[in-house]
Amino acid sequence: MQMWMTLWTIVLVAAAVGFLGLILGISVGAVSELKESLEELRADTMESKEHPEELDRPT
Amino acid sequence: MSLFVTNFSTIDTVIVVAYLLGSIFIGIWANRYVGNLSDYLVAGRTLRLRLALATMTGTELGLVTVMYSSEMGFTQQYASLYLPVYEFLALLIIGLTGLVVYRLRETAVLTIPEYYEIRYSRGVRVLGAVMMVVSGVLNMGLFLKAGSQFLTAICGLEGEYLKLVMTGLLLLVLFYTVLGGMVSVVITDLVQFVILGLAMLLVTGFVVSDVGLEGFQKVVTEHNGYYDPTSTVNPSDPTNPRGGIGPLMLLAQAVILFTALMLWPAGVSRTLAVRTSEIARKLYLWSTIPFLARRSLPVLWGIAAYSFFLSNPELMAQLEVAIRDDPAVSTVSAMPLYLARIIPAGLLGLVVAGMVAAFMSTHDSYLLCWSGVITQDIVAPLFGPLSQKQRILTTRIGIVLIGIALLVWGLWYEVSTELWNYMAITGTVYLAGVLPVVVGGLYWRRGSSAGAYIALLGGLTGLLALGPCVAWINSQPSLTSWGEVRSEHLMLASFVVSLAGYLAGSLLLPDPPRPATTANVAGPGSGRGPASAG
Repeated sequence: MQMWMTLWTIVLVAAAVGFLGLILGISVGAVSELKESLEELRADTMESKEHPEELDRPT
Repeated sequence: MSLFVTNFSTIDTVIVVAYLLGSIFIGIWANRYVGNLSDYLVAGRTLRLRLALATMTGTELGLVTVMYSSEMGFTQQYASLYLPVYEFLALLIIGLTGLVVYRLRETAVLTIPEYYEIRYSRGVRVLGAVMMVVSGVLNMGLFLKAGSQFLTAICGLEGEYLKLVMTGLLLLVLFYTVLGGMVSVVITDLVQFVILGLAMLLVTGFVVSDVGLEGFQKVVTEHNGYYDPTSTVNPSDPTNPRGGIGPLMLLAQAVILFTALMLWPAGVSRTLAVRTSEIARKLYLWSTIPFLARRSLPVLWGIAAYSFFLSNPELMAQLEVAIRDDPAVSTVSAMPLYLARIIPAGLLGLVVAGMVAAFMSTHDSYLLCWSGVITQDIVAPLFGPLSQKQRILTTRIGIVLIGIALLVWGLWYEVSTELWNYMAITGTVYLAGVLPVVVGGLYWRRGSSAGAYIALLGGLTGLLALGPCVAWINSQPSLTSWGEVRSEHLMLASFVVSLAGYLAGSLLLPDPPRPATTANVAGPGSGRGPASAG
């Protein structure tokens, strides 16, 4: 029993601490990454508007 | 003392409604970033690591995951923690080696069936897509029901009113997914990731403070808690022959989880949406942490609910009666019934918003994924060629149709089975076939279309593991001469049938020789654009 309960305690503590760290890490960095992705998507959208025939071409 | 008591108040309702209105705004706003099909289906493959991690976590940490994990914590206590450990190890292996996901991203396809056509044939693509959609929509069958049970228990909602609320939630998800596609899914997933992450940590803090370390210890020392998953006998439910886990179930779940983590379509859509193959590999490595948390923290809540109800015999008796007599209450309800008592008003609104976020973030990705497959891999190959505009329109129609199917079947039709078992079985229908077809396609040159057909159809044998089929098989003396047949036997058999079919079909009926393509020879390049629209 001791072995199993030690293992499960490690799993639960690692999950909670790791998740907290991940939320902090992602929340900060992901917003700037989102801005970069949206900039790239905006360029894509502009290109699509300039060449609407591309979207109408059957493939 | 009544079973149905909740601290949910007006301020909690305001918090939840404000959050939902925010999601509508994001859906409208994101629509401006959808220029072409690639933007709509995979956000133009622009995702970097942290954003991809947030959206993958948001998708895979659904309310249904929280519910079935806490149900397992309630019924199998600590022993059920073997599942998060499996997920952690599987993701670690995939993340360190890039197994399957690296090569799959190198092909620059938009969906897995698209890979089938490049590697095998158009027929394999269409069949694979049909199998994927059938299995995927079946798999979602209980999502709405699980969500209903959570809201019923934690907010005190009842009957028809509850059904209307769930319908409204689904309509909201349909609205922003139809409008903004993957772009709005990614943005809402990021918001949902933060809200549900905070909610999960908040609940864990309340649960630990309520039960205390001594209370968690007593679960094993005084309340006969189950802690050894290798044992087939569950001490908390010793009279139930199916209450335990045991070596065979451990093996079956290892196979299913490992395959699902590599090849479950909603997860793969994130792999295919990232900028490079290297980011795809790292995404899996970093996912070890949220995936460990997504199952183990709700298991802890379920264990706390078990401790709470055993310490309150009067409430435990009421719960047992409700489970027996009320179709809306099951062991799934134990955790939210418990949380409704210990989390104070105000914070309960944040928790419910977090869980609603979990519900929505899974639904949006799944709806987009399956409808994208319908468009790209069933409609276009059979009725094409289609322009990008027509493809986006077809995908939007697919989202709405799947949403209607889910609403009719998942909410208004009663499905009586345990959550995780149901999901594992319906998942097997797809996973048993896709494992040999994709892995064989990527790593074995002799894999053929005939082998792929047999393997994909072999996955259908997974349906035999559903409860009514297992009961029928066990009622036939000629089929049970070696002993009782259990669902885990049949799930494993399904994987064996598909693998054997793929090997035999490929060796006996090889494809004619053809030039090497990026699908079977991994090459350099990030492949941001769609490889094939047809």
